Amino acid sequence: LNSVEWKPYMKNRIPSIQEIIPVYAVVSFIIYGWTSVMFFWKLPSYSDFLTPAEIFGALSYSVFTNLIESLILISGLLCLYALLPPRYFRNTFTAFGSIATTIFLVSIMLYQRHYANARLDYTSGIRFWAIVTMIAILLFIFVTAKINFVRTAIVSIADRMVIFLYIFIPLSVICVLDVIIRNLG
Amino acid sequence: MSSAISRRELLKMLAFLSAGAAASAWTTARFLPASLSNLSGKPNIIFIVTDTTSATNLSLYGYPRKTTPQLEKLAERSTVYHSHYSGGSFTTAGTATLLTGMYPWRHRAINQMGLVDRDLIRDNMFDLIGNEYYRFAFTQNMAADVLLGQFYRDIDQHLATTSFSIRPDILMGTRFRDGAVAYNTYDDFLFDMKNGMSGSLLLGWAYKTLHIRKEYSYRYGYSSSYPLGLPIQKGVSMAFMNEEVYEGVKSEVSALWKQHSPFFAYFHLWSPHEPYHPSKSFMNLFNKDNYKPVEKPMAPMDQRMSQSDLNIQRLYYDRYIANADYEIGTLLDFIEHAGLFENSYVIYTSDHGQMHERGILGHVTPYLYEPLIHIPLMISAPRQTVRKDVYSPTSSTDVLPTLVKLASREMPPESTGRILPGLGGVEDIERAIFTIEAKTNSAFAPLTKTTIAMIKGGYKLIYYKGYKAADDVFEMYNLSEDAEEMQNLIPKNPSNLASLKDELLQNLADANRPFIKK
Repeated sequence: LNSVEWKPYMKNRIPSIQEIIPVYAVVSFIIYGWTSVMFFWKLPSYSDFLTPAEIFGALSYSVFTNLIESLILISGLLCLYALLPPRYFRNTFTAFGSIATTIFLVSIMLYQRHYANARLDYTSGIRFWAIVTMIAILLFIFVTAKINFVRTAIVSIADRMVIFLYIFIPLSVICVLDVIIRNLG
Repeated sequence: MSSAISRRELLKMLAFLSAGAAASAWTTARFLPASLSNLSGKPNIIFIVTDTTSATNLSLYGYPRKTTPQLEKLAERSTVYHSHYSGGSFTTAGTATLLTGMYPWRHRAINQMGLVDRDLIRDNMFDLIGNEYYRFAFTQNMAADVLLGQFYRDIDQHLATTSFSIRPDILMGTRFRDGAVAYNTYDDFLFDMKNGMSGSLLLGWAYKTLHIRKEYSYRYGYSSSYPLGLPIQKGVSMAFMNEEVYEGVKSEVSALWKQHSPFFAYFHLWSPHEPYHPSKSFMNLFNKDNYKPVEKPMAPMDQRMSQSDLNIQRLYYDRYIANADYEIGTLLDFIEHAGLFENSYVIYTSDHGQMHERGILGHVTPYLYEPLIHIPLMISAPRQTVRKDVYSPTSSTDVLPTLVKLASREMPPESTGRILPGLGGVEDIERAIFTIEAKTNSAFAPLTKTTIAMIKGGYKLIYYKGYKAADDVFEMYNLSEDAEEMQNLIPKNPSNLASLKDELLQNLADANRPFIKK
């Protein structure tokens, strides 16, 4: 592709920011939510041997990592979208992206839970998991594509998730600043 | 001709001498190892703990198999404690006793992976030894590392458990300036390799998945040097080679010697903890040596492994001890060649022992027989060349007060332990020593499900409380005549039984009092 063709090509393949934000909200909700729940499990032990400032430090590193995780996932999804044929996926990013990332992340939750104490067998079910997750994602995308009501419901839930970004983004900014300040000098 | 010096000449001379002294001090500080420029005069302390090492399996203490030739060499320049007992019977309780100088019923790290009572955290080995020392800590044992994590404010350098292991060094702990918080967050939470779920949903999972696949190949890809697989720490992702670990320890000692003085270095190493995976050179040791351990009656409350299976496990344990002993020997040679024996205390001990008898393999058991709680202790003082032997009972609670004295500091008045005989303390055969096991009891409640062993005057009284199969049950042994604990004296009702019982129960009641709700 030369430079003249590149822009319209990408424009056709990269969803609009209005479509990306709800998907990012869904991704953030799950990723930040998981860490928050796990963090609260850790909190009693932290409070036993860390000061409040250090506990906030631990929170900052966690949120900083969540920010990176969520950006990696949304970037990966955008790359995938750019590679797929646009005629099938035009104007569907919010619905398909939300459902695909939700299934992907929930399947990781289930995997982590199922193999929590598996030790060296931790990866024994990875192929089965990958296949089942892939089938589940395709199945749900198919259902979403075929049933208008499902698509509308998913988009509508994803839109409502955006409200959480008003918490996650400022929190991330504060935490990133805290990580920077902690590591200055 | 007058020999008097003029004022100008005197000033010149003084200036010259001052400059010379300053240059000399700078040169000393810059180019000589810190140990040689140690102006405080305090000795370095090198503290070596090998996990799960029962004194009853060491030739150092008379075991028929020659398991510890290197430790025996160290003994020739050390004070050797022959009746030394751990405060607990597994890592958390035993190590917390060592690091706080308190019994488990006081420090409350009584559960597996448990913590020391928050109010007692300040009274730890690193704090009490004082900040004149550069304080270094490294343990391969995750349960011990959790405790070091509690004391991190008093530790100048704390290496991750995975250092020198097959798993690459800690993930994030050293990449950030505030290492302790970053380590707690990344290595112990977000990218946690232990059993359980990682705090980071996506990256934590990906890291664990990729790493465990790699670890699998590491653990089973070294059969030429480790026929049974690499030594591992079950429950966490840590495979390692003992030679690499001890090389790492040597390099740390070398760095401490060159850069910091005086230094206090605490090393708590995993071997010979099970699974017993000695290297190839030790795999044929003690083959067909006709040694037959004393067969003892089955303990009713725990596993019931056959004697022949236990003997096989014991053989591997003994080989693994010999393997660890060889590596300790290389470390001691290094210390010798570096001249560190001249100005350092070298301490060797363990956190608890190990059972290979009465149908029990391991140390997670309600019982407190000798193999489980009788542990080694040797202390080599600077320039010590003669062996001393101490036979009176000592406890791991005594190690901290002794270290604090060696560091010319004061112990808090409520301290439980005493200064060890031979290093300022006195021998006292009539003193009561305790070991407490209560891993299933709440740390925040009185001890109602517990086993307590009390050693006093050559006797050992064991008290079982709260078990279905044994509630308010006592056993008593005369250790000086029956070291194998074959003859329970309770049916004979010896004359000192009542007073020993009273003393044990009184100590338990005192320990429980703060936890009884009014």
